[in-house]
Amino acid sequence: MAAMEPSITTPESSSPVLSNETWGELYERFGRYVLAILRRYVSPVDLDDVAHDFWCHVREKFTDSFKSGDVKAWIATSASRKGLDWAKRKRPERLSEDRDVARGPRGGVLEGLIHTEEERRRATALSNCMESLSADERSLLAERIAGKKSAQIAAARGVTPASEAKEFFNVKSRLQDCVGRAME
Amino acid sequence: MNLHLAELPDDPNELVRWLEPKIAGLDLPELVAELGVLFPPTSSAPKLSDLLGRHTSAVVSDGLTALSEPQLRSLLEHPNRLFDLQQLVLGEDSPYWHAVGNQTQLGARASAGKSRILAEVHAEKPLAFEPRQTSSFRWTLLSSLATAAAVMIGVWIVKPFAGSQSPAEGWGWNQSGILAQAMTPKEHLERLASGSDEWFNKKPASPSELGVRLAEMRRGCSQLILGEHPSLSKDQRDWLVGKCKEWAAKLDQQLAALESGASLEEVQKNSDEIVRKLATALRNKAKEIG
Repeated sequence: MAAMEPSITTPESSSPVLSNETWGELYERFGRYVLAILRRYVSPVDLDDVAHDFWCHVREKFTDSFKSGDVKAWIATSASRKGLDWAKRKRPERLSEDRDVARGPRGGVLEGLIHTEEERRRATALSNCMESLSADERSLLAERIAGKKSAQIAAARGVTPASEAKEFFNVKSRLQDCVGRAME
Repeated sequence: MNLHLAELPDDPNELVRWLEPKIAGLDLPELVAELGVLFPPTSSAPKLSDLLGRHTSAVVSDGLTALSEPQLRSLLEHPNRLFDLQQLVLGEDSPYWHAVGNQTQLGARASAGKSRILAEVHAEKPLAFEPRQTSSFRWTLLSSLATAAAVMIGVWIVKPFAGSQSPAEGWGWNQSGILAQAMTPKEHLERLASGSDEWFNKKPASPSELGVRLAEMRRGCSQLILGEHPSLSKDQRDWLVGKCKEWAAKLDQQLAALESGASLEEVQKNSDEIVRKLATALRNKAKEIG
């Protein structure tokens, strides 16, 4: 797909700082894009300040750093790098391995998926609460989220669709309560 | 705290309406974290282009209704691909996804971020001046001063809150030296409370004036959050920074509301209330410390 990019032209002047007009054009086009990229690595409470820092950096450094090519790719790479740097600096003391879903033996694969303490706590709480479900209940949850129909699952389990629906509702409620308590 | 998975709809149409604001919003990492527990990422996961197939363009222009239910469910089973999808649709200049983003915090916070930086830039304008119609000596002198001022602006823009920088004179928490003076913890907090009272010294007459004033107050919050507060203990500093972050978020909300069309009176009233409460909290804490 051909991306419609703004034609960013940097002023011919001795100042490397972008003009308000050019900077504003970049921000309008990519402001939300950058926030979303940063949010992957940055907690909600710090997001505005990190984004502020990023856009001040763009204002100051864009003329020197971006020579030609894909503006969107430059923005995406710079924002990801900024977010990752923040995440590395903020990374707290980890929970013990058996409690930390993003590190422990069962959930180590989430390491690259989760970057903030908030998401790490959420995933760890959910993982621990899943342990309180029976294997059948865990399977029911995964099948329903993956799109398997209630009637199909009920037939396979030898129960009525109404019973299956009730059980699914109960499983979600228990998980919600459990995770809510764990996150308090 | 809400568990996103517990709210996941069964109906495919509802699923689209539920998932799109997540994609164009700021809580996608929470959903991905939850899905990752159920469906841990694998090295053999399909690429986003494989999951979307020939519908990629339609998803960008018209949203997720272009996808079948199995395709939507496949996205949920490969949570990493939700990030890829977000980057795809927000990276394009799609009016559809722009409108979806307007329903979430994403649009408001992006607008607030832009206003904040522009307010900072405009707040520095008095430092710039026109050197025309001056003698050559004065021109040289003024040029030097202008260059120095420009450098100061650049430094302020890039590292506005660096510890050793002297922030430009301002009001409230932006005043030079408000954080640096040696005093007791009680005096420090009382001084900050008095600084916040300066919010009430000026009544903005237009939304744009109020926007600038809110952004300046918000910048003051950042000063406090990132400042050193040498007179406070670690616990006291943690309390102050935690509170400042709450106040900053509330001020951001008011700025976003103003930019979304809320009335001057309403935003002024809400903002006054926020500042009154924060001043009270600071004074109460000062009393508690004694």
